Amino acid sequence: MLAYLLKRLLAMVPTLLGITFVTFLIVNLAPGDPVATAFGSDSGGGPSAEGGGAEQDRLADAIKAKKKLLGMVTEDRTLHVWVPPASGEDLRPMEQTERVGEFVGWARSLDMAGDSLAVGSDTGELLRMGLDGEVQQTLAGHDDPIWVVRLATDGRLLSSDTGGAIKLWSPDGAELAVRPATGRPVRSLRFHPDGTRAYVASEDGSILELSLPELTELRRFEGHVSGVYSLALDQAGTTLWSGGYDRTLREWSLESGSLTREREGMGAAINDLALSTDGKTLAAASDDRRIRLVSLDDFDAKAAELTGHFKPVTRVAWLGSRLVSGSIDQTVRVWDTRAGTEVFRSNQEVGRVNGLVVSGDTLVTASNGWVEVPVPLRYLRWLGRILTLDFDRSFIDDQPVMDKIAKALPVTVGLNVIALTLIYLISIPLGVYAAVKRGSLFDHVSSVILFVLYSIPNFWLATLLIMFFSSRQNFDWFPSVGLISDNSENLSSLQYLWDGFMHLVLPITVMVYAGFASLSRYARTSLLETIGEDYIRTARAKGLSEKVVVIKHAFRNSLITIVTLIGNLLPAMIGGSVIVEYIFSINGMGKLGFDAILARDYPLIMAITTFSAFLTLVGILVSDLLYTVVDPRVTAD
Amino acid sequence: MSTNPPRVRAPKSDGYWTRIWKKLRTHTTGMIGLFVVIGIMGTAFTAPFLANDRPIIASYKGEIVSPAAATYVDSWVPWRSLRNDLKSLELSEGFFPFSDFYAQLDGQTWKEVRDSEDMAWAIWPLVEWNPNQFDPGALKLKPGEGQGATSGHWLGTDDQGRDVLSRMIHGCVVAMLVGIVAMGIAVSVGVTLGLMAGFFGGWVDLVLSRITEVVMCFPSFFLIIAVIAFLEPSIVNIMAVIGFVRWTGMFRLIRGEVLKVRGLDYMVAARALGISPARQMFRHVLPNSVAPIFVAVAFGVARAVLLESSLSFLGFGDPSQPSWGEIVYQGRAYVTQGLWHLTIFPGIAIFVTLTGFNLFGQGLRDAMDPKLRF
Repeated sequence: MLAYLLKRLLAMVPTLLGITFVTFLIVNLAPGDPVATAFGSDSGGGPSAEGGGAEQDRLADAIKAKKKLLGMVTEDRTLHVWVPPASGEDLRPMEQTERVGEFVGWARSLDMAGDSLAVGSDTGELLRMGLDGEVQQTLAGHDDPIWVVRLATDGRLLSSDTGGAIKLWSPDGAELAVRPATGRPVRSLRFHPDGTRAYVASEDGSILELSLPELTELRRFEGHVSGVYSLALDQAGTTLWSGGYDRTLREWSLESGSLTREREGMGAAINDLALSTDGKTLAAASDDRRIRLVSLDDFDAKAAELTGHFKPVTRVAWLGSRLVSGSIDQTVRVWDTRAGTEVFRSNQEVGRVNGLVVSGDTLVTASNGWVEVPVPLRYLRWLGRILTLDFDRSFIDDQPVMDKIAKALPVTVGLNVIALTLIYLISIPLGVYAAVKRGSLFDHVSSVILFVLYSIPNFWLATLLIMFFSSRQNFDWFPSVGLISDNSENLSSLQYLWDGFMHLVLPITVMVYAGFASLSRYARTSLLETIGEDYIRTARAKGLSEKVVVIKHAFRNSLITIVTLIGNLLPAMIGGSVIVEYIFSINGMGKLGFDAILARDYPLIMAITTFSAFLTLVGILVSDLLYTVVDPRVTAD
Repeated sequence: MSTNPPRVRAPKSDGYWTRIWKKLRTHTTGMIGLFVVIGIMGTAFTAPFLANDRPIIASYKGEIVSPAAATYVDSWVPWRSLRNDLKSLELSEGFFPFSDFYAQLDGQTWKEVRDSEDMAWAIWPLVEWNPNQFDPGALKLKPGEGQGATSGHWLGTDDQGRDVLSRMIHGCVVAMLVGIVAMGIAVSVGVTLGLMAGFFGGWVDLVLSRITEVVMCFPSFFLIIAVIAFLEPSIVNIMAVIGFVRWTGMFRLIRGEVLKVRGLDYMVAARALGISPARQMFRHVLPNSVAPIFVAVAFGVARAVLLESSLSFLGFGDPSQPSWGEIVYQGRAYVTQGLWHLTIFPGIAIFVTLTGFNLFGQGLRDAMDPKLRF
């Protein structure tokens, strides 16, 4: 028997896995961003669709927090330092990932000069750090998220935020000059190599030349029709390139201040530009997931494309003759530009890459803190949580999901036990009697009545019952809300029981009536089938009384089919209780699930579907075991 | 054996379906069910002629027209877009018999031109209300009250002043559409997978059976409302979801039948003759194992109708379509105030439909499976 049980349980493993997989799918593959929709906002946020008020930021944070709760994202607050192998072989992929210690906020911007890092964060913090992760200097920072920081070789630091404010900092951390906020985010900043000027690309489509250290406007380069996202300067400081949302790459002469060349057909918004060390190629990172290599000798020629990223590329930088890129797809990749192939790809343990800088041989990347967990890993985590029965907290009231289920499950199970007992107690004798008196008036009348009952929609019957027995217009006999009256504390124990009973009458009626019909039909049919068997004829031929024949020989055998029906009735329990509990406002599993669906409370939905599916499996197992108990012919093998 | 009996030409025996039909005809309740089914389907098909705010047939400006028939064209989206396309190409002259009544009517409704001189005569539908038409003159929610005999609402109006009887008649369309299309999906999925599982056996069977078990383990109603709540509650989604959740019964049924048929002598013969597996499957196995599906479909349609009305009752129905469950849902707010018509009438419609399909299914089962006849 035990071996059989073990074998049965083992056979259920694939089914169990399937169940967990389906519940997993509900959250992870629902159309749109399910968690975001649960919060009434669908802003996933592309690289260029940022900004928005503090309210939206808070909402986005809340969404991320819930996703973390569901195991869809993890947090990554570290800067990553990538060291290429010492061998100096040019095309070897980077082997080592070193992580610099914890960073305070979420790094949104990053620059490096020598081995000094400048990091700006989502919360407006601005830090200077060493490559070892040691914070060297904490600057006063900005009020808004810092999207761009730029370090000059002399140690001066330029920073700008989403409000458009630009600040210049001295090497010792003092604020040298401030340009007030304009309301338009600054997208890119560059120092002129001579250190007297800086270039600012802004969301409004203009490129400004600012004097240093005063930060006053010297010139304005007009031409882009929408936001400029990226700038690049040559070593000599004679030429400026710009790219942005209007999909054009423009070249400006810094001597004359005029547009010299323009290139269209860059696919999508250009997020970053990087000039190769030999000054001949410009790499453009684009929203259409490609990196384009534009030759400066032949500006209008078809650009070589590097493809591989599966989400918009945010940053590019040259590492010797190789190109490094970072993307929203959570990878950092290294490309051999001559061959046009990818030579290295990081696994998806970094978040969306916001900053990527190269200094010498060292590459540092900053990501936005949240790392999307790959789907297979997410599934494994979900499995682990099911095994430990840890379904986390509800979105709605932050109560642990298991507590809510623990409160609701006994109600539903209790109601169903009462209902099932009643169904079996009434319908089996009814079915047996109808079978014994086959063809009699009783048989006909009962079968018609049962058939009619079977066809009545349960929500209709419930509404009718409330209408007739629970309203002032007709008979106000039974209460129709909940399982117990509000003033139940004041009742004596006998009155309390009576109150509970009165509350139960209508819901139980609705739960029971359809069951009668199907079960007594089954009882009748299976008894009739048994009565047709040879051994019943033998029993009759032996001269046994009809009572003994029916009860001892036929009925016991016909029980087999009836008993196994319990397995089929269990899955209907929670599904069926939705309507009854909804109509009668009973706080059981059905209403809990219904409310969870309405509120898109994903942890609760996942827990309830998983639970009820498990219950069903248990039901099937129980009915199989009962089968072996009831029918000795079926051995437990 | 020694003497040959005289040669008598055997009378041509009835085919399988003829025999079932003959048996079904003697089955009283089954036939009642069949009539109900035909009645509901007929109502669904002819709904625009039964309840509409346009005449069935009329003589207007010397022309005999059928504005009610145009409802089919107007309400069927592919037609409508095709007509607009053709109109832009100026090809629609004489192509569409019912086109552009609104242009002829100068923006008036048919009821407004009813007594004008242009209208020589007209035959109006039984219920002169369109299901989505709001009657400003009617007392909301009052059963059986209206503005006199011609515009009276026989079964009252709902809380938005729409005619309940008209909505119920057009509710047949939704019920039948959901019932039949959802079952169509369920049958296609269930039969295809079941046939594969039963015929190929082995790991195909194992995998498909496990998948079926997984789907069966979920409380289907809960799964359906979850999916409908996440998708848009349109009639197409409702049909698809019900179909894709309720195929497991079909799968089990057909798999069992195929397993039974596969072991029969004629299949052994077919294999011995070297008939290709595809021919075995579609020519021999499928026709011989498909019969019980018809019984399951009859019950399944009833089940799908019930599911659709339950969904509408919970507020997950298609808001653009009149549905029986939705009327009961509206009525629920008023049951304790003695307004019973919104609850009683559509409920009866659901009940009659379910009874019809269940009776028909039972009759069909009794006719098909002689073992179960007592």
